[in-house]
Amino acid sequence: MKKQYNQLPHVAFSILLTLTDKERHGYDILRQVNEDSLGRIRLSTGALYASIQQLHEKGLIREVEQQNDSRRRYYVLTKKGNTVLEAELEYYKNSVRLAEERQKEKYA
Amino acid sequence: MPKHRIYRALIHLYPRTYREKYENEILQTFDDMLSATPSRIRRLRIEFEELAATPHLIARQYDYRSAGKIRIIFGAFLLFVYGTLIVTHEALERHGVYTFADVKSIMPLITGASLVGTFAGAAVPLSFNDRRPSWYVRIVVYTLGGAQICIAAYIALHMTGVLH
Repeated sequence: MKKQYNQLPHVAFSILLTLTDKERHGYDILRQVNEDSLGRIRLSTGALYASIQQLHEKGLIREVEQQNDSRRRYYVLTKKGNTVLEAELEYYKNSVRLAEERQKEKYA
Repeated sequence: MPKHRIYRALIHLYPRTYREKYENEILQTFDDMLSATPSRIRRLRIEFEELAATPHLIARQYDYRSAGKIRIIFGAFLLFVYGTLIVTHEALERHGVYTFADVKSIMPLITGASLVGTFAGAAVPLSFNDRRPSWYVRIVVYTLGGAQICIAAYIALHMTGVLH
């Protein structure tokens, strides 16, 4: 079944985006989301784990154990999470392309 | 740290299953945030923001778990209180305990509060992207909301003198 565009809330999208390059623990995700959004998104810990819980339940992320850091839980993207993220990115790319084209037409 | 204790106590109010899974992690992340912030003022700000955000998140967590049923209970409770007020008021007025004018001054407040509660209750399901309540839950929520609006309209008509 083809995935519907923009099904993810923006915060969930931002969290998935931080997990594309490596596995991260809670604080690392918070910090990276803040950095990626140029300081616009400042998640509270409660909000972060509410999103993590939902992403986990949907099977978009999974937990991994870290030998050298047993106090923290680390998260990685699953295959499904990667597919959903790619579909979201495709949606955003299309939106940006359309916006640029319309801006060009407007000021041409 | 006293505020830490308050935060820990607040975390205890989360639903049990959620708490068991995420409590340690939430506290660890909170600790990490504070440890990574050298400025005392910024740390205070973080603590305050976390404390302020938590009650709302706890309510959302219960709501998420119950898939909207909590909202129905809240709506039903408001309707019950509102209905009781009307019935009691009409009975007391009929027996000459007081007149409608005696309670007229607080009616706008009750009507306003009830309407805000109704619209908030009805609007929240629409804001859910992830887990909308099922259709029958929504029907009950909107029916309760509709009934509440009808009662509020009835009171308003009474107050303006259209109905006697």
